[in-house]
Amino acid sequence: MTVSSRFTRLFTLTLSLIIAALAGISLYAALALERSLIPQLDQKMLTMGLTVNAKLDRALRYGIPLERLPGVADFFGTVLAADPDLAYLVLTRRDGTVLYQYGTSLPKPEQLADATAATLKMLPASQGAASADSAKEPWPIQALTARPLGDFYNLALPVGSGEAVAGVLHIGADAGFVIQKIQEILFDIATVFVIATLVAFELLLLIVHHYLITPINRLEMVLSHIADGNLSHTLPVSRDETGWLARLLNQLVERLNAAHQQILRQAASLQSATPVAANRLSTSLAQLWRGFTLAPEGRPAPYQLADLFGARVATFLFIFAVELSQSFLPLYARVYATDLSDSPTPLLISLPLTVFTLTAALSMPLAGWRFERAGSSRTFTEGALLMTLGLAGTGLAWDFYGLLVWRVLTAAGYAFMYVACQSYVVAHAPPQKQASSGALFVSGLMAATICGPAIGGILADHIGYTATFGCAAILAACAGLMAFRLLSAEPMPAPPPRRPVRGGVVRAMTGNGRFMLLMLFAAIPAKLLLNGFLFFLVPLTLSEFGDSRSEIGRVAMLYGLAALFLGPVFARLADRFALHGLLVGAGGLLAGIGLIPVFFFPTTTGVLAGVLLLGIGQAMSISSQLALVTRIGRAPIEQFGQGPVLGSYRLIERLGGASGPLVAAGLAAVFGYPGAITITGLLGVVTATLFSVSFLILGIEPEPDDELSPIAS
Amino acid sequence: MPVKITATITVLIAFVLGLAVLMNYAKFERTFNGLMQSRLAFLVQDLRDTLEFGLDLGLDPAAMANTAAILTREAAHDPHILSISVFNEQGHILYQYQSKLLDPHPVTPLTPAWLETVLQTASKTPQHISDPETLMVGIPLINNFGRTVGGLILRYDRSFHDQELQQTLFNLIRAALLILIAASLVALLSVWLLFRSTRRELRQVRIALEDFLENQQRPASPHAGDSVLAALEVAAEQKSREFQQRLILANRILRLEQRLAGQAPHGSERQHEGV
Repeated sequence: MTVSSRFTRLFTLTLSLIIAALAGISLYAALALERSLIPQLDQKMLTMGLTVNAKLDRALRYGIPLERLPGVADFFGTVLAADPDLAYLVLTRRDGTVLYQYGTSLPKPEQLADATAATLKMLPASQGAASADSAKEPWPIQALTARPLGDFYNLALPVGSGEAVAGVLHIGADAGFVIQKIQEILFDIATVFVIATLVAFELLLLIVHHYLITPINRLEMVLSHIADGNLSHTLPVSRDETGWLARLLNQLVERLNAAHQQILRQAASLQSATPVAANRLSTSLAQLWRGFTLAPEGRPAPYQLADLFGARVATFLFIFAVELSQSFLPLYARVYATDLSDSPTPLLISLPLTVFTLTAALSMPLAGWRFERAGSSRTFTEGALLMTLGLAGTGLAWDFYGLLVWRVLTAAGYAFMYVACQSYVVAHAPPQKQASSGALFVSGLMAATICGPAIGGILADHIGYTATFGCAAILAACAGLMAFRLLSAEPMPAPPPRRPVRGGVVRAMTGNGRFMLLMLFAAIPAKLLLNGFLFFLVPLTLSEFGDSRSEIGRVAMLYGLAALFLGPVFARLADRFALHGLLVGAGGLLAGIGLIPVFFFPTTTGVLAGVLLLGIGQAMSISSQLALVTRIGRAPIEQFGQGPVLGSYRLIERLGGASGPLVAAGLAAVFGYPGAITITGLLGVVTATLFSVSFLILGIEPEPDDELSPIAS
Repeated sequence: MPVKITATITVLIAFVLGLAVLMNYAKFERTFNGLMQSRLAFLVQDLRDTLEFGLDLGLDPAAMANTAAILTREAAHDPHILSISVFNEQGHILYQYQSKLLDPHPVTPLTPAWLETVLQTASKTPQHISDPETLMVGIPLINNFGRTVGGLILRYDRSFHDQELQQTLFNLIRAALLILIAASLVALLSVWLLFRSTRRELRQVRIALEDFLENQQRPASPHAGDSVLAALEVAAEQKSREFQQRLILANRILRLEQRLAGQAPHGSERQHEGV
């Protein structure tokens, strides 16, 4: 069995256990809740039944027969309207004939007749028929409880005063009352399952790689080195089976190196006595050592393999931490903004988000500088510290300005951690695996983008904003600890060759017309839609529609799901059929079109469709955009290298994206939230059309006889 | 390794169960509170309707003689009702029913803030307030000219309410722990079985390597198995043996040169051949 098939089985086992655990606890919860809630429902039915009964009783005391009571059904309607938990109220005669009834759904008449008969049978004889001595035998009405009646719980109360029972009042609730309540959280349970699946995948990947695949790969590499005559490496020793093997291998390598050193020392002592003999010996030994590489000075170095999966899980954790608040951040900001103004403007509400995106964009170059000097582990740990403080502070912010300060700190931490992880992967990925290593990082990031908003919404709904930010801070700290442990043993990446300063790259890129068209009509609008629509308008709009934070998180999660699963598919299609330009244009159009109907159909479903189409559209365009940058910027890449060119592209894109919440807030102030979504969509459509038309005319790369693009010239 | 993988799976299942318990409990709490509050609100509204009927006839709240009887009758619906108080617009208690359960320890007086909250309520919707001991439902009494002339507050035993919630939470946590233990055991067993062959492979290679280190003169080990790792171990063993041969040769040449140089005594060669 291969390692990958073993991992698949392990993953399947984990998912099965998660499903079984969720099913088990949900089933138990249904039973436990039914056991606790039904008596409460029963008591409520009894309270309401007795109150209604008392009113009917009063009419009977005035001598009005039940058949002649006016407006009873309407009265029943008023009672039921005030309480959605109850299904019906029915008044029957002693013979079970229905006199008055009201309800959303009702039991069959014969069922009511049977229930009436059963109730009358339970009564003391004195109450069942005309009796002269009713007062002596009190009627045990408090002991009456609801009983199942078809699809309902039915409580039957005799109506009557004095000598005889004139009829029976039936009060009913849906038998599926508790199940309905459990069903209301099924979406949340399903969300937990999706998130658990992604988290399971990430953690198992890390554990299997860290404790099995990487140690075995290391063992194989060192064994293969020994088989090739290279005796210069030892292995890190762990406390498991691979550790035992590593210890033995180290023993072997160290013993051979020690023996070799001993001979060299003895040969050296000969040198002083008889140099001629020593030279002869040296030649002989050199021939003997041929084909073997020994450790310098007999000290073998530990063999290290970069833990790219560690970097992936660290990425997953810190993005998870920062995304946890994504689905409710504007709602949280609104709480603080309300302290400044009774009805805060959308612009004020958008400030914390704008400050975050802007700081993150501006901190990236600083983080890159720090990475080059301090290495990935330290940069990541510093970022984790900043983010932990920032998130904890955000949850405990004392006022709106404090909130802004904490968001700045969080964003700086985010930039440090992002750059540390991305640069670590780039620096340590084998040259032939650069693309797949990059995908490893992006997948961790996307998985967290799915999990964060959804789980954040659920947590905020149940434990509140502050505790959710506390959880996010803990996650960020865990990411820092993990990175410290997993990335610290790695060697520092070699400092990159000095290139011309970034200003030169930016000047070269901004002088490229095609690049500017790509930035203005594709890259910046894509980030603008993401930050403006998904992160700002969606929470506020859905909140206005009355959706809970869990529901907002679920809707936001759809974007990540579409991007995670469709992104690689579209990337492969684009590479295979060279469809990069087409996919960027079509993706931009689709993302924009999805938002337009929201103004005309201002419902949760409309927003959900917009989020889904945005996810699909951006899955089509994001990776193709990157490919276009490398094609359009071929000359600057040759001149400055790929890193600085892509870095500049990211910087301009992020700075443009930072304006997203501001633009969306400005539009929302004028047109309201649904109107702002539609106009943002229109903006997306217009820019995507301009992009498509421009590139249809210009082409992606200049023709051989076209040295300068028309716009640049 | 099985322990570490099982621990990871256990943490994951604990995370899932924790969230499921949290959501189910939150739903239960909301439903339970909703049922209780709507029941108490219905009782209070019915009482208000009865009292306002008297007000509509022009009676002064303080002069409605049957109020105490009405309160007692309503309180009889539920033994957990601690008290029902009717007060005027100045906040003075006019009538109060108090449960017999409270006889040795009278219920704490209503604070002016609660009375104020009820009196200032513009709507006819009952107000829900709570303190560590009681749940309170209050509603204003409004005469037929639309003026608030007083209010009524029903106080309900909170210990019963809290006990139900705690019991359900305890049951859910206990069930989750049992599921977690069962799932962890299944995970441990399955992981152990799943990685048994890997462990066996590693053990075979380890035995072969130990054997080689203890007895370096013997031929290549037959225990190592047929995995990639085993094949590499055999190759590494052969190369090590080859290097040992060279070390022996190097030793011999060294001794020879030393003897020629007059440094080493005869017979010392054998001592240095072993590595």
